[in-house]
Amino acid sequence: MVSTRFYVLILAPLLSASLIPILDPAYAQEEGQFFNRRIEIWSLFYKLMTAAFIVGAVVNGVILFIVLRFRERKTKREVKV
Amino acid sequence: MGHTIYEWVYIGVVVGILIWVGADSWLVEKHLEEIPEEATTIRVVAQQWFWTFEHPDGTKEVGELHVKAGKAYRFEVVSKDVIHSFNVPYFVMTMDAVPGRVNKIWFAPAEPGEFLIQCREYCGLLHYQMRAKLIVEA
Repeated sequence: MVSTRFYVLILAPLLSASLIPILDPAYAQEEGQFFNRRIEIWSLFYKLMTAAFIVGAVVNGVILFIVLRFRERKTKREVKV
Repeated sequence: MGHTIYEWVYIGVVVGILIWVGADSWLVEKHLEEIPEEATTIRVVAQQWFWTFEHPDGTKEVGELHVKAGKAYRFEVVSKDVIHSFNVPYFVMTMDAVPGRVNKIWFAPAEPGEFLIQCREYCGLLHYQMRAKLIVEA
């Protein structure tokens, strides 16, 4: 079974990373300065693309790992020639 | 099997990344929807197959829109006939013009220049020619 400590170690850094944009002072609008939609929207697009590729890599890596581990455990199977 | 640790790691990483991008998207969306109070209102009238822009002082422009850099503008997008879509690709701005509705969108150009305005919703025979020029003055 997975311990509580394990949850804290894995999830706490990720959840704290999700709070970074909320605390980011770069979004604060000063007088006379407006939200630059061109920069912010494209910046968000690149972040989403990065996240999509990381999630894809993690999912594929786990699937590959599970498949290879399964294959290694089945080496005793007889092969008829 | 009894090897749930790998599954939990992968669920944790994926959920964490999705929470991160979700929070960021929510924040950007919030800023995009908050129209500054000092924004100048321009009425954008779409009809087959040209754009008319009405300024607060009553002046109208057809096929061209003159604005000033460093100022915020709120567009009230309406249509006189069919569904159109007000699109300024450079400023990543798109808003549908629907008959009977007033849709709002805002922007604040930072730099002067000439930019394309186009219809982004197929609206009939000359849809491809339904273009205008956005002129941002210094």
